[in-house]
Amino acid sequence: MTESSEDLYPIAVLIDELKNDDIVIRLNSLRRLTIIAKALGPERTREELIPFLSESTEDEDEALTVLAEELGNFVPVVGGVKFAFHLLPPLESLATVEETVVREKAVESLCKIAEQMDGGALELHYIPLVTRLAKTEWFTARVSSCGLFAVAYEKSSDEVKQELRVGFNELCKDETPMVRRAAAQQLGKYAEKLEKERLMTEVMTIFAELCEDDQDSVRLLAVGTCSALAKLLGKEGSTSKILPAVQKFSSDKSWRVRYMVAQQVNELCDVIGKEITMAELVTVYVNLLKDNEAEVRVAAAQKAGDFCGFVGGALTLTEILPCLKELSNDTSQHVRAAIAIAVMVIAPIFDDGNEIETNLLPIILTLLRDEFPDVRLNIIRNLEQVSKIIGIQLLQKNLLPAIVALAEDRHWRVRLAIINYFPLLARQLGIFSFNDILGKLCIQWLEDSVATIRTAAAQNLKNLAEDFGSDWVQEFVLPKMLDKLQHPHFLLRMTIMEAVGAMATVVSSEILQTMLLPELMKFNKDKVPNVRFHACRLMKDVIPCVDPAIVSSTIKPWLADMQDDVDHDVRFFAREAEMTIRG
Amino acid sequence: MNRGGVFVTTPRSEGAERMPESDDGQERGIRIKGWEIKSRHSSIASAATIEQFEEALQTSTLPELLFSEAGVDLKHVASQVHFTFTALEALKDWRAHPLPPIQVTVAQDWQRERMQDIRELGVKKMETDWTFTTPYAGTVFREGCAPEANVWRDTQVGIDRELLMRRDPILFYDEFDLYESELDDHGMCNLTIKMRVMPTCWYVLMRYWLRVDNVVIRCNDTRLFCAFGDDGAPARVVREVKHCETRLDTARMGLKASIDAHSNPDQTAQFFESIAPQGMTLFKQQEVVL
Amino acid sequence: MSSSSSDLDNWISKLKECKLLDETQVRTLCLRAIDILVEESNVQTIYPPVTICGDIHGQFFDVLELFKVGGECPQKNYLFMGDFVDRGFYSVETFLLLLALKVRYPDRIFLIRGNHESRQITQVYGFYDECLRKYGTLNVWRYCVEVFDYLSLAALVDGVVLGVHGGLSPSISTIDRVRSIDRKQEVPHEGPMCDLLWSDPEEMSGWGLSPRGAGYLFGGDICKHFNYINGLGFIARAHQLVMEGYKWMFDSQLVTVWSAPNYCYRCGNIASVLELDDQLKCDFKVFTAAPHELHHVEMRKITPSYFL
Repeated sequence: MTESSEDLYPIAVLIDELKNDDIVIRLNSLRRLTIIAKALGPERTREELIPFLSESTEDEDEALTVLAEELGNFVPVVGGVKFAFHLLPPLESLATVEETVVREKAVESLCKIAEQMDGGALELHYIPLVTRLAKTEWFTARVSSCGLFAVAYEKSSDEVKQELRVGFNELCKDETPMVRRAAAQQLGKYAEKLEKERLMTEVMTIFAELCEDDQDSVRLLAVGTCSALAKLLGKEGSTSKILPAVQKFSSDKSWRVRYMVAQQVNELCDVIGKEITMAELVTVYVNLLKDNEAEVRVAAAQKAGDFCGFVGGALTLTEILPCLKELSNDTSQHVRAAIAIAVMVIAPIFDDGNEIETNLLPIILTLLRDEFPDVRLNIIRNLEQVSKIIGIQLLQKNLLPAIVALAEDRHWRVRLAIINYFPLLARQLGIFSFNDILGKLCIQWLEDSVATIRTAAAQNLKNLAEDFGSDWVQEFVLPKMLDKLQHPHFLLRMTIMEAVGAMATVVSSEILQTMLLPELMKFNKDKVPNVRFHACRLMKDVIPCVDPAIVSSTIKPWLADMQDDVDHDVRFFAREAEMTIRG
Repeated sequence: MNRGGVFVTTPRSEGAERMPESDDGQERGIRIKGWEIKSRHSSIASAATIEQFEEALQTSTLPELLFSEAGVDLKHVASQVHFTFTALEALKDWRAHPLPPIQVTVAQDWQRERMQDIRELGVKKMETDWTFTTPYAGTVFREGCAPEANVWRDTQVGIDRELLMRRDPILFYDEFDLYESELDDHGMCNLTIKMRVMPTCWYVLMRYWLRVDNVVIRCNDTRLFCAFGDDGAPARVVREVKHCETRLDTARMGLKASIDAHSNPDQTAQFFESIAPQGMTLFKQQEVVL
Repeated sequence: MSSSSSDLDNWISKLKECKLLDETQVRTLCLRAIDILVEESNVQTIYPPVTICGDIHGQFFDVLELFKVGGECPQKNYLFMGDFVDRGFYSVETFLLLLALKVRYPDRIFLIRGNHESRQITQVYGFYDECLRKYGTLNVWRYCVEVFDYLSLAALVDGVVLGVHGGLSPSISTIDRVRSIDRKQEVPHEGPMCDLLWSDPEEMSGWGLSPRGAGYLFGGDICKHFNYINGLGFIARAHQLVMEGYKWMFDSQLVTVWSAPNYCYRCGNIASVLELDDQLKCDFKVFTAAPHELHHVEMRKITPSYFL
């Protein structure tokens, strides 16, 4: 195992290693390229290093990727932006290689450099590069060129702008689908830089053509630009140009295209406004919800919250909710899981409990009984929003039985979600109804077979104790628990101890000092070291709640005793707890 | 666990339709031009299923990744003839055509040290082919009847590769394993299925692939192909079987390099293509007309 | 080269978020681990309660799931029976987390060697490439494989349960024989150390030689005799995938424990750990893949291709 430090690494060695036969060594050296350049100084970097690197573009892809990335940060080390053009030749050849990752990095670096160059330098060095790449016979160069137009446009003269537009237009009509795909992908960024008046004319013509492409992979990317273009076009332009495309794409024969529509539907709503959304987009959305392919239905369902919020309660009730209801029995579990979230997030749209009872509650209850645990989980995690709205009566009558049934669910994450929901439920139900129906469960969870549930159960008791007070702990909880503190199984002893420790920090000091603390202190004699040191860890949190006099008269000697324990970890945690006393 | 096969284009627009999915979502299929084509994914076998396989195959050696329920079923509706691929049938052929067990590279060293123990303790030498190499090339049967072995006739007209190379939309696609073994960390073998259904034809590739580190590579391919004809015309299914094998220990390229060169079935298949006809041990081109 | 327990606590929480330590931290951690492991006997003595785990193979989020179901370390004591690395996507994070826990709580967690804790095997099955990919150099791999050489070969719980990665060896009739092996080396092809890490139980009588030409199989009579001679209740081992997460053999004289759920992200199997309580009562905790690991199933989603 040798020491390696960047600063100490001799530059000569690094340069030498750039030519090493072992790829690992070359990579290591390439990653330190900036340091090498700094050491050489700007002039030698330009005259020796860059030409050398320009000839190194036959390397393995992994090395070329690093090289392409490093060159993007090279402007300072070649002597600043006026020498930046020296970096273009090696990046140009990297932008033509076969491996996509290398090309993408090269394009990224070219853009980074071009951003820093001024109009004159661009025209002299960068624009010719872009034009060359765009006209190269081999398609990889043309693919790369698509990403290089946007960055140069603003700073260019009118004449050059014209040239750039013609070039980009041609790429959009390229015979190779890969090039059209790259152009479609860049369309949004390109349109952003163009003059506003050209948006409705030139850009929309390109967009329309890409939308008609016979390759679904090209159409897919055209759809992907919809929301970006819509933002540029504004309300009117979007309504006349983007909306029809979206309507058409929503019944495209390729499901990936339809999926992409579902992904973008809400962004489009924002731009075209409520009125047109309600008139035109609801049908599109409903069709996506009823799509043949589960992936599309999932994507559409995931957008339900925002979409329904946008169109409001009335349309949601008549148009969308019937679909959601049908989908709650979908054959795909992933669709049902998405619906479970959807019905919960749209609940607040309805301001009265009746509408929720008649329309949403039946769906919720079906989904709570779903065989797929994620569906149940998605409901429980969002129960809070619904139970707040429907009120106590409805909650007790309809939801509670289903919730109680899930408290013993065979999937532990479902049980955990129920536990986490309990403090809220307790507040809504009040102490008496709570004890009656749910109190027993709180104790039962302490014996769960899954460790996370046992810990959560202890924490839950603490949360409840905070709400219901010390008397509740004394009268309701402790009698059910204390007999288990000496249980033969160490896991149960440990969990009960954890619950005692957790509650100790929130009960009245009287209950703490007369009932809980003495119990906690009994664990110093437990035969399992894990129990002993866990008692010390809990004590650390309890100490600040105890009367200082009692701390020094009882806890301190107790901890001192523990610091002589045979077990290393017991001694460690006892010492840690003791530090809180001193602190 | 993987979910079932994927529908790429909405089948309805191409005169095809999806078949109902099984309740567990593992079985999916498509109905097209007189065929019902289904694939099924599976988790590895339970202890109970393993017992059934051991009983049926009379062996206690099975691939540890045995996707016992997985398979392909291509049914020609008019003739009620099924073409299927399953792990159980593949393993039956493995048992029926036993190969002598391959010795791993360290075998000599390993045994030399232990010669005395092996003799004195009466250590039993196991003889099973632990690479699960199978000549299996699919099963054919008429619904309700036993599988038929001799339905295939040699033919000169093979698979229409030009048709397969056309970028027609893929309607239904799937790929999955029937079985796989890590060979107790001495290499890898698997029996995989790839299938695609286009508007004009269907095509299945089943590939048995083996790499015993620094010892041998094998690739046994079965290709099944059917171009859809006019309504009512007889259906012609073509089968191409190709077995390849070569030693790795003679290549002297070093362990790591030879593993990197053959880290998956596609690499090995490409390799055999590049050296063909060297390495090829069997080639058959056959058809059945329904 | 000093690092306090609070450094270690930081590293542990960083690793638990699946973040990498930097190279110098790994170096420090590995050196400290070696300091601890070198003092450990070939056969670790463990007192119950302890939770025994089988192969985990770099399935990091499933290891977190294991702790969520079985309880966190140090609240619970753990014995991991090897094969921490290879095949999964997070061998580095997985091994370093276990190692950091070992250094922080040497009496609470025990790691013994599996056949994948080897230079040669990790070069073929993933750990080597993963280190190179994640760090750009092989230093981390070198530090880790050096630690492998110091891992114990077996563990003995309360004198009655033997934990070992693979199984028995004909040259080992007593547990004392294991104690006399010089373990600090790459796993050799010859000798009993290799057998402990590689051999498999088989429903047969006597000893068998694997058809591969290397590797022993041992029958029920061999196992029972060994347990009788050494006063063992049973042997707990790992090394072989079982759909149900564990499998008893030879009239409960041996159990295989497997702790990598949905192995290789596609087997669909259940995982388990064996919980021995303070009275040595056995309880298997079974668990399925963590939701995070399921994302890899989505990643593996089939992409259609025009294969020929």
